[in-house]
Amino acid sequence: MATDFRQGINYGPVIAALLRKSLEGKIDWRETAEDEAYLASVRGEMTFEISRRGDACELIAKDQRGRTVFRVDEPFILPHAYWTPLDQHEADQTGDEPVSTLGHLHTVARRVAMRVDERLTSSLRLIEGL
Amino acid sequence: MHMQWLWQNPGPMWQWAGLTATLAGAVSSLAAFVAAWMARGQAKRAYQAAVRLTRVTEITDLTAELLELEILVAHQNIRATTAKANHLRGRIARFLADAYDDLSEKEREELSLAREQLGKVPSIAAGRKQSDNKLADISIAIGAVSVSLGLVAGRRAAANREDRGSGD
Repeated sequence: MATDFRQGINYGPVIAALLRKSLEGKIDWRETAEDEAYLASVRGEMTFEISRRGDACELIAKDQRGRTVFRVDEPFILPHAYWTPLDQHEADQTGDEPVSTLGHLHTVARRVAMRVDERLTSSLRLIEGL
Repeated sequence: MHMQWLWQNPGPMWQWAGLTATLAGAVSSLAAFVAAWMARGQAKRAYQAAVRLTRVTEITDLTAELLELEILVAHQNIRATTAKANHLRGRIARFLADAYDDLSEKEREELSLAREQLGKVPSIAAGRKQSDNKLADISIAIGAVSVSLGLVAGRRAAANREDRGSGD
């Protein structure tokens, strides 16, 4: 089927797949020299960098030769215009605003790269040893 | 008695002969297949060894370049560090393409991560931070590169030992 270039690019499936595989622990996110920026390589063929500056999250995908294939950004907090009735219900219940898909991916990437779970366990052990 | 019965009934005898020949054929086919498989494995290892011998860049060249890069950081020379980081990034990209078939998925991942981390050095150097902070950020990036290259170098050394152990 020929691509209709009049349509905008749909990054959604790639971001959703990255998020799903990250949640399954199949993507090894790494810290970088920049704060709040994390890197992952998928089979050594594509690298993905997710970064957060203020309220904006950005995902950059590069090919094997380091050329940028696409770059997409999204606010960390999902803009109100995109809320579903379920988002609205949860926001009403919890008082927390829903996080965008890139925001969610950034949170998971940070958790993997910073080894948050391991560090939480060791912190707990340290505190209990007092 | 049994042989006598067989000679008196040639039909079953030919069936037995056919079955025996079929079984012998199957066994010899299996043996030929195993021999071909082993020869293929040996040929593949010999080819890989030949490719490694003629390769322009080796992983040990990259780790040596990394050591020089670390020395430049220790000398606090940001301009030379940036130039060296760009150079090493190019060499990693070339090695990755050159040795692609010989590398495992994990090794390719580590090399592409190392290349990306080195790509951060010029932007850190051109940033607005003070020199000390820039050097600290560059050290973090190079530390990550060191981890990735060290892992690949370890795996390559193990693979080379395995090749030598197999008698090729």
